Amino acid sequence: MEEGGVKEVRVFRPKSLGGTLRLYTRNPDSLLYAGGTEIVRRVQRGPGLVFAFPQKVIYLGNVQELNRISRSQRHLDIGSALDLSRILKLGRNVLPPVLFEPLSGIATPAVRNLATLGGNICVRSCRGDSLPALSVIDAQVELRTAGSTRWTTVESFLNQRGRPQLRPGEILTRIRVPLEEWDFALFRKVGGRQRLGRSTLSFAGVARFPKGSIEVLHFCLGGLKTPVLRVPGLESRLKNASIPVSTKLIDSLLADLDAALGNEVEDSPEGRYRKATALRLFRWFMEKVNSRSLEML
Amino acid sequence: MPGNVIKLRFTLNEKQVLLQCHPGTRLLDILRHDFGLKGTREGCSQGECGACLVLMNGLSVNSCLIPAFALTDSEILTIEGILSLKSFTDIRKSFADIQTYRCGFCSSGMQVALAELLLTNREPNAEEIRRALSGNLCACGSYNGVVEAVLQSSSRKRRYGRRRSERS
Amino acid sequence: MQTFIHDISPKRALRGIVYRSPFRKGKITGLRVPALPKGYSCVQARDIPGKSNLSCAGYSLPILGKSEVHYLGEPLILFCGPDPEVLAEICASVELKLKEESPVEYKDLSGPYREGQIINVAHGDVDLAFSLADQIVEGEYRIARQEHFYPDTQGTVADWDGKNLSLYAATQDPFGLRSAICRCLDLAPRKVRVVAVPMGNSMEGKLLSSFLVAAQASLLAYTAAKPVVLIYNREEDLLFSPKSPEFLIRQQTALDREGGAMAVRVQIFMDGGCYPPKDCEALRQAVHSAWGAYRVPNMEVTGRTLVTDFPPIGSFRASGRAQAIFAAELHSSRLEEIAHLDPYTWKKENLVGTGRKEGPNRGLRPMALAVLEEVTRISDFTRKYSAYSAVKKRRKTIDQSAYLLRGIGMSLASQDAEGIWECLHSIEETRNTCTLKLVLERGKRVRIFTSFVDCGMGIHALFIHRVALLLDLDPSKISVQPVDTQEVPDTGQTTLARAVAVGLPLLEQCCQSLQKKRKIATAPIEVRRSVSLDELRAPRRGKDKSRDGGAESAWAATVVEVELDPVSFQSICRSVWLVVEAGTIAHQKTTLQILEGETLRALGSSQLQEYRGTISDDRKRCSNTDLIPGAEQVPEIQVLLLETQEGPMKGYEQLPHLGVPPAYAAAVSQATGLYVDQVPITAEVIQQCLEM
Repeated sequence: MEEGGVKEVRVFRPKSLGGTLRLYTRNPDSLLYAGGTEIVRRVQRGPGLVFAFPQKVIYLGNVQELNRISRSQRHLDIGSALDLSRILKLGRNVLPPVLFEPLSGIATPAVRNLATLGGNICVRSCRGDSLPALSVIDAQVELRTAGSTRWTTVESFLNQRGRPQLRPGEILTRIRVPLEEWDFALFRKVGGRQRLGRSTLSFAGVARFPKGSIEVLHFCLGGLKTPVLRVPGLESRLKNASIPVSTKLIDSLLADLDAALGNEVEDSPEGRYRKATALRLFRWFMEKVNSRSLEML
Repeated sequence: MPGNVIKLRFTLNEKQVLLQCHPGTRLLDILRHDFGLKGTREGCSQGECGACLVLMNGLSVNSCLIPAFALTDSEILTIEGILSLKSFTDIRKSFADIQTYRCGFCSSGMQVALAELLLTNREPNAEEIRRALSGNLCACGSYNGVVEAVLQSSSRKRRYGRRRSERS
Repeated sequence: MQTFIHDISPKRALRGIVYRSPFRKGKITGLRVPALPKGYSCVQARDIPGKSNLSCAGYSLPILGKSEVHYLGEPLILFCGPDPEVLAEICASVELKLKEESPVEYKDLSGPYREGQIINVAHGDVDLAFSLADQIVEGEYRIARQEHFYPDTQGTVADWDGKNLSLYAATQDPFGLRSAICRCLDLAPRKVRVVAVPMGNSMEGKLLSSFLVAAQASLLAYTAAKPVVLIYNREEDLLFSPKSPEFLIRQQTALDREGGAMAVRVQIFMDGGCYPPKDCEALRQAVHSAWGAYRVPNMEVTGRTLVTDFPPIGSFRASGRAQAIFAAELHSSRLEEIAHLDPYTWKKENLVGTGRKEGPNRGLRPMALAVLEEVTRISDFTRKYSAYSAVKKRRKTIDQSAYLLRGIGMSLASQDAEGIWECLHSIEETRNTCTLKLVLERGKRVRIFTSFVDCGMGIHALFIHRVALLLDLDPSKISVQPVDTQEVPDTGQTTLARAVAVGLPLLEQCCQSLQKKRKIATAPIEVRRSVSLDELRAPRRGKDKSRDGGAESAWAATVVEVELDPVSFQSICRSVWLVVEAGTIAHQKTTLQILEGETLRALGSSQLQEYRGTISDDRKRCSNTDLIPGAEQVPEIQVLLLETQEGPMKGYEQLPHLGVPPAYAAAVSQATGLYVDQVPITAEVIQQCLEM
């Protein structure tokens, strides 16, 4: 059932980042369009009908700075409008494995040829894909206006409801992925496309444990009410814990996580499943950390 | 014609074309209605079933998700091009018989997905073929037949390769 | 490349659109249509010249709602015109005023219900048997309302030239469609021509929706006096097209001291949606299949249709029978446990026609046993079942298992030929004969004239192959005439089973006649053979219709092996073995392909395909992704055909839908140690079962 009428749409096609930023400053009500795979699903009106875009669209597909990757020893800078297929071509040896996994599982091959990492971060319905992985490795996003640049973490970039916190005229331009070595890294997604379950949930975790104790451990749950759920209190309790981590400590952490998840799920069969699964994912992660650490000893 | 129009220039099945249309026109509608290329089908309109796949600059994309303004200077290959152009002769040899697809509705999309795979990998294994087809939904369940056909074709190529080296 | 309905767009054709109710239920108090631009037309219920209710295969529903709305998306007004954008604006401008009412749906059957049809079947003395029982076992089994996914679109192209109506329709029953349109437009059959366009896989509610969209397109073309193309979009199809009905089945079994079944009492509740048929084939099939392939001396089955405010139900593959067999098979797995028998042994001992007291071999059903034994062998069922049972016993909780949980399940079912004849009776009140024609032309070419469409079931290939064999001709010189009601005779509604049971014998008779005529006449030679409904039903008169597994039944034994992840509770099907006995198979390769494909669809029904358009999801877009397995989810599927040299080919396409869901549920139950008594089985369902 249609919502009526098609409007005039003006499409801007800038070629440089500077031009894009100036354009966006003058036209702050424009839709920024890169891969557009989520946007078009919402503005899709059916066979024979044009997409219901707003009046102004800034197409980012030709903006060079947003469509490239640069690499240093310490990090990768990925353009926010670069499609996922090209990012994945870097391979598991370059892209951190904890990020390679979620990106390679997003949607379908054809959608990955269009969809972008910037879009995946900004669009709420995509939570549970890249966000948990980016969070645990302390990835940052670059936000620029015509006259300013700032960096922030992915958790700070999104509010509690998953909306990007952008200042007037700001565009997400790059995602900085640290290339740190981790002794253990793991990503898992439950549900979603062809994973034979309705509720979606994802888990990302990384750990470093030289010399028989945990130096640092990060874990993150995605797909809950809070788009990127980190529990710093639990992470800090594991700092300096000797490995393998005791069952008693794991059970205690699970009890705290259970409490932290209290308001994160709805009271429904799907919500109860997601909470129970989140707890099982954490237990499973800790068991994997223990067995990996034993392998390394 | 609603709203404004834009002029588009792109390559369609190795021919340069020009078109005037609303910037929000779907590529799927451009192909089916403006160019009469009915092989690209509409299934789900959400980019999930793969019935509308085409190759855009050598990569498979869902044409139901592409607005006209993203087409400028791009190269589009539809199933009609893949089935007729000389440049795809070798690739076509790996396609299954049309009966393998049963009702045939998903066949175009599957063949485009396979073409993308075979352009870079002429001897894929079963896992790679299934992964390439992971964006195509077939209600008749014909996946195994299609995978078998591509594998058999690869094994024929390998046997031919051995004979050549034996002769030399 | 095939031409599907959405590929046809004649010149000058207008586009059609359906305005649908955004409300779920209520009385219409006002419906204002905006002023239409020139060249645009509108049809409401009061404009329908003939019958305003559509009849199709026993189903009857309004083509357009008039004074009341009974389901979300019920069609109310039709528009047509040259520009789809203008049509979209017109639809958006319609003003509907409705006195909303609470929709009726039954979550737990606490009553009172709005009931439709009730069917009772009984034999023996159930009350007495229950009073003497040593044990009574009860179970409740739920099969959710399902949307079966298909990517092809539903639509019709209609053209009225002032005297005659031509339709291009993706339908499996062109003559039935013609009759329905004649009633709707009050036209004589000779004035309506239906050309059947290739369609995707048949059933899945498409029969009813093909009639409905054709009636709507015809009304628009009749009003506008121009060709009209009406294609439902994906949202319309997923949310509002006919669904397979929800079933809740309660089983009670009275057991004797040895664990043998003395009596079975079954209550079947079928959610018939808002316009359930008065005589519903699905309910009838469910009642007559209530105890599956097993014997019991006393049985009482009551089937009820409940009337709710969900979209209408439609014809689906094995509808009613699949649900009843699901419940019977799962319930029998409880009895297996009580009797301390593995599934193979229990099934063998309790199969209809066997009797421990009657002696082990008396009245055995050889084909049923043969498929059971073969599937047990090729799947290594007995060994795996014992191994997984032992692991299950040692395990404490499933959610703390370090390993994947494994299970294996078995089922046995028959595709009953009885169903075809009952189906014929219920749907073809006005069509008394089925006819097929062959024409031998010069150059040894043959054309087959039938109303059976192919719909991905290999029917045309089957017919060509048979004619080639019987007439010793080159198959490339044999073709099936495009299905056009002005060119072909009415062979009836298409299903593979009917093509095999009705079409093939007619074809064979035509070939015999052609052979004779060839000797005395020159081409072209035309032969035609018909069979009446009475002739088809005659051999079955007097048979006890409540029993299963007649000589014409095809049998299948199914084994499914699953792995379940103890963290996510997502179960992956590792392997499926299907052993089928379906008479003399004409085209083995096609048969195997079809069985494999239907197995995958049946797995989708077991794992994924619940319809979620409930009150709280009023306008929710149904995602396609959770409706059908993809290429990476295909398990190992091994299909074995047991061929018999005696007896004709039997219909078999329902067998995976009958066998896979209960075998899958049994496997998941073994893997988890939980009684999972419903389909589809998702991870959330397993979590719920764990919490119970």
